[in-house]
Amino acid sequence: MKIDWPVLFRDALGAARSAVEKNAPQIEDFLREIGRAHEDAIRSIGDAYADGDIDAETFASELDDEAATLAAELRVAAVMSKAIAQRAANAFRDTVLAGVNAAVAAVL
Amino acid sequence: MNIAHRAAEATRRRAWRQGVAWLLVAWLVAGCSAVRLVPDYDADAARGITDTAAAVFAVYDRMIEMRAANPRLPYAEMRDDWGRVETQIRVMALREQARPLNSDSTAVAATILGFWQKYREAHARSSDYGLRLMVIHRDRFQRLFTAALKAEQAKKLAAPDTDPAAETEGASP
Repeated sequence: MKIDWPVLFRDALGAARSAVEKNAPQIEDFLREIGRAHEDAIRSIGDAYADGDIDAETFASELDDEAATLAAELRVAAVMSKAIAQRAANAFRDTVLAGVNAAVAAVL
Repeated sequence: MNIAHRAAEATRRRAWRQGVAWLLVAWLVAGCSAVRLVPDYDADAARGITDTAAAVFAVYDRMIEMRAANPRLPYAEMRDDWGRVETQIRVMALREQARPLNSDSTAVAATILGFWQKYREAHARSSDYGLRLMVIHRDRFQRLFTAALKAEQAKKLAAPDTDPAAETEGASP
């Protein structure tokens, strides 16, 4: 049974790289989006405080809530990263499996 | 005798090769199970998020209208709404928590529940809810529900034969 491992690994890495390259820009877009929303929210809170619609204690509490909101939004980027990593790892594995199975089938 | 011996040897070698090949297949199947870092996309969970978001926005829209038309918004006027929607958020959080490999979505749901309880308590304590603050809080919930829904839809990225770029577009609730 002969398996061309260098070719097989090159193909597997190519499959994994393709999975990352195709989907990774979504994370960047999302981070840009939540950055803009965070800025808008901070501006709204600051304006409300400046206009006297909220007191100093509420202002501080709102800034804390805004930080917690940003942290929750960043969890989405974590899900995206994990999902893309899963897709890439499995693309690599599937390509190796297919190559080895083809070599085994030739022997059988 | 020689021919029979060679045939037996060839058969033995073929059997040995087949044995090695099957062992290799068995090793690959047993040892190379698929990598799992996130749970599968769950359409029911996504629906639960949008339904809960709709309930939250409906309450805020009602409060904003009432507060805009009145000098105060007594907690008693909204107690049932606060309670009903809190139950719905708890169910959503519970569903996320029950799924394996789902710590990120669970954290987003817990943040939503925490804010709902905090703003409810503040309303009950002061028996008023400032209009400006209400709008800020509604927009914050909008972002958090969008995050919850995007997190769910991002799980589609893990599936090998989908086009998640198209599917995650317009994910806002």
